[in-house]
Formats: sequence, structure tokens, C-alpha cells
Amino acid sequence: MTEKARLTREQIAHRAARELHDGAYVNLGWGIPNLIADYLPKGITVYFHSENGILGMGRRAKPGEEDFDLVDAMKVPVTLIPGASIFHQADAHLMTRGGHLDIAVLGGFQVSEKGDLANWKFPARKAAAASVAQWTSRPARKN
Amino acid sequence: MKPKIVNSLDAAIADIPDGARIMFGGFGGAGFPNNLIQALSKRGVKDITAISNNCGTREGELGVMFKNGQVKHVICSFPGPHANYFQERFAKGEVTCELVPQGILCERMRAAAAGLQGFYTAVGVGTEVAIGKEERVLDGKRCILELPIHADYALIKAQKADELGNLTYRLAARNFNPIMAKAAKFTIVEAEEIVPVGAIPPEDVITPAIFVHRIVHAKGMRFAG
Repeated sequence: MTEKARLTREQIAHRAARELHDGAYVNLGWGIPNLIADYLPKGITVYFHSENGILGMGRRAKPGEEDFDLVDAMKVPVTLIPGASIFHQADAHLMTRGGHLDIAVLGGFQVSEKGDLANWKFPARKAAAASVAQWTSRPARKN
Repeated sequence: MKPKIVNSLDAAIADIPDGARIMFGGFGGAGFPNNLIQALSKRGVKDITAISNNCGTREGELGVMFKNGQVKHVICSFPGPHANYFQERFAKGEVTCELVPQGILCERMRAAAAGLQGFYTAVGVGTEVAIGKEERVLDGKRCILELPIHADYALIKAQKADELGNLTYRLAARNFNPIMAKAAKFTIVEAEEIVPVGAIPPEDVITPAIFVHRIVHAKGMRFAG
């Protein structure tokens, strides 16, 4: 049996970016979702949302243009697009929980074929990340 | 009015007692009151309950406090991959941790700031986050009761402070800082720049001075990823 070549992280991000529509407000989760902003199809504008209080995140900053006061949820320096805004963490999560975003691209640890998602804790570890827990209780509005 | 500006980082944190409950701003390497944390670490204040999004990046940010064993309990959402000093102490049972979904961490602090006794939310229902919490059905949804998070002190980082304590923040270095400034009983700010009263246009003020009790000038300190 020949094994199919696995897609690279970048190829997955590239494919996922094609699911986004013009004008959408989109949150990107940890991991591969975080790469999506770099692969947006030409001709559409998407307003990427970050849990640390950014709407209108652009591509990742190039070497030399990094501003460490402007990072995404993975601590990576990013850029802003025209029309971007900055707000505090409570408003960032209010946008999520209140259903104001259009699409959330989640990072996960494990997913079942039915779509059950493990995304905030490893059973073996007592402490984990609760930052993503609230996505599962109120999925973003999907157009 | 008693002046809020003090001349040194040591003076800014001199009266924080052992056992204090302290909120620390910052997210993703931005907006951490690193100068104040270093001063607190040097003074050796211990048995702290820390409320912060994460648990340090190696020795940086809150890491030094875990390294020194100054924290006994932490309330956080992301004791992330580089919080090795926290993880070592946690594994040995030397520090306890309450893990809170990040948006609920914000709202519980906002409830404290707003004088609310709590709120109901569907976030965390059916998970271990819900253990021990009152549950009821509201609007057809299972919800749990979340209580406010109070603190004795907030240590925060601002870009500009005027002499009254009106604050602005730079870009995403804002993050948790304005929320914590409002929630704690006593807010201590390290500001990159201190300007005269009136120099910040009123509509540009992000944290009004009423929430700020002490200010110290310090050039921002950042720890690499």
C-alpha cells in the first residue's frame, strides 16, 4: 500500500484560506490556523480577529519590521490592515462569546470523525490551556 | 491630592505584603509590567496569589516569581509551553492553579470592577471548569454561575500616564491591563512616559485616572519569546 504524501502545514493553511469570504470577521486559533492570514486569496479582504484585542490583522511581520507590541495569539509579530482596531482582552472575547464573528478556525489536539474536539487539555497534564474552552460553548456565527 | 508618582520601582511596590492577591497585565510578551515584577521578585514578597493570563516565559515575566517560589496560587488561562518554572513547582505541589477560560477570566475581573456579585455563562458547562459551581438553565441553555475575581493590587504596564494617572496603551500591549486596573483595589502602573495633566486628550484616555493609585516611570522591559 502506498501512503499518500501528507500535506504540509502551509498547504493545509492555503486550502483553509479558500473557505473564507470577502468581508468576513475571522478568528484564527493556535497552530496551523495561525498561518492562514499569509495565504488569503487575492481580491478579498478578511478582518482577522485575535484574542489579545486586534481586529484587522494582516500578514506576519517581515524581519526588520517586527513590533513586539503588535503580536498575535501565538506571540508572533504581525501587521495591521487599513481599518484595523485595537481593544482590550474582554472586548476581544466578547466578540467571540457574543457571536459577533463570522468564522473561527480552531486549532485542536485531537478530533473525532464526528467532529468531537479535544482542544484545551491533555489528560496526562493537570494544567493546560483554557483559552480556547469558550469557543466550543458558543461557536461563531457561520454565514 | 496626594501625588501618585513615585521615583523608583522599589518604592512603587514597597508596601505589598506577603500573601497579597495581585493581578499582572500582559499577553504574548506585550504589556507585561516586567520592571515591577523584577522589583517584587528582588524584594522577595511571598505567598502571592497571582492572577494573570499565563505563568511566565522561562525566567521572564512571571517566571522569575515561580522560580523563586514566591507564588502559592495562580489563577490563569494559559500556563503555556514555556512556563517551565511554574510547571516544575506545580508538579511538586508547591503551587496550586485555577484554570479559567480566558474570556471568563476577563469577565470575572470585570464583575469585580463593576461591583457585580457574579454572572451566568454557558462557557465551561459539563467540563471540569464547572465542578462545584451552581448550574441552572437560562434561555434554554445550561449555564454555570461564575463569581468575581478580586485583587488587592494590579501591576500594569502603560505607554503614557499623565500625572493624575490617566493612561494610554500602545497597540496590543493593552490586552489585560485596562481590565485589571479597574478590578483591583490598588493599581500600580509602570509607564514608558509620564506627561503633564491635560497632555492626553480626554477622548484618548483608555484608563481614567480614578482607577490608578501609583505611577512609576520605567522603560519597557521585554523578554524574547
